[in-house]
Amino acid sequence: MITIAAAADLHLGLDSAGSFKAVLEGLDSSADLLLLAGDLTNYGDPAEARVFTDEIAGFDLPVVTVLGNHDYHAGAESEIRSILEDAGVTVLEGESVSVSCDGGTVAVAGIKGFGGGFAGASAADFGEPEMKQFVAHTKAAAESIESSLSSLEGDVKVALLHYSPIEATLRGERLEIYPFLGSYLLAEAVDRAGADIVLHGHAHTGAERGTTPGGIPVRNVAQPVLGHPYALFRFHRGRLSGDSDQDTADAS
Amino acid sequence: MTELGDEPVEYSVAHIKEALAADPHTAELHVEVQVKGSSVAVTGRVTTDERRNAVEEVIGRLYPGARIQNYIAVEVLDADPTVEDLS
Repeated sequence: MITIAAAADLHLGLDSAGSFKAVLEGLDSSADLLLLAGDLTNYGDPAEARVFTDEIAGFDLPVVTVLGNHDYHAGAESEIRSILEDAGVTVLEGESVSVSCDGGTVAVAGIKGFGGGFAGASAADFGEPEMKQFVAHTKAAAESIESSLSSLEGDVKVALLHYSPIEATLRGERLEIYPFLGSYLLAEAVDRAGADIVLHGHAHTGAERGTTPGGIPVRNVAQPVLGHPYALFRFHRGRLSGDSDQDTADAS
Repeated sequence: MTELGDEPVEYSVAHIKEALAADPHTAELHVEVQVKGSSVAVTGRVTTDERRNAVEEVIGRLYPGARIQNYIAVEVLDADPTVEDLS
């Protein structure tokens, strides 16, 4: 069995010290890795990224993250990335990583993504240069995640995003802001390339669960949506899946 | 300085939301704002008491005469995680 812990939208500020460290206690014995779907910081201040790295000091699991829009706000995303990487965190923005666990390999492709809206009500690559630039950013993200996922091999394949690929996990947000919360282009890319799960954040009052039109599970792991510090996803496959299934059968 | 009531309500709401997003002490995009007369009501959830208080300070600087009704809750997360089994 492979267990993935996931969360997003920690929004740590200088006033948040201790809050995330407290909830990580014991996680290293119940999960194989921790995936974070962006917005680790609140204002995008490098000092906030150091609050995060202080929180995970001594934490024993691999940590993989993408950055979110808040992490970009102060224009210090490169410095934030360096701070995280110096602390041993893998930061993905168009890249991928494979993490070997006792139960098998988790392959993660990650990118922030962007907005644009959903089928039938989405921004078009048309008109002013500014609008074309907006759409181009999303298209580039979609092409990147598709390319990364296509070349990934692992027992579990994860697409890690900040923005949402589908509308279902936005339910609860104001309809008017859907185009700023995600894009169908991300779902289309994931459906083409294939994945076992898509994790995202960004939509604080959205819903937890949905699927892409191609049937891939999508989970909004923003902490305000979860109501918990993180979610655990258990995949009954990989090197120890037979043992795990046997354990389950014995227990029942 | 513009006072609440001197401009259409829609603009006051927009200015407050913009200020709450831009101020480094709040950086909040998820606070809902309602304006009626000289009163501002804010709702939503933030992660710390400091940020809840900062919302009032930001609005107070923008509209010094505003009467602020702060209904923002500070997020409390259950300790136990959610668990989902996937095949």
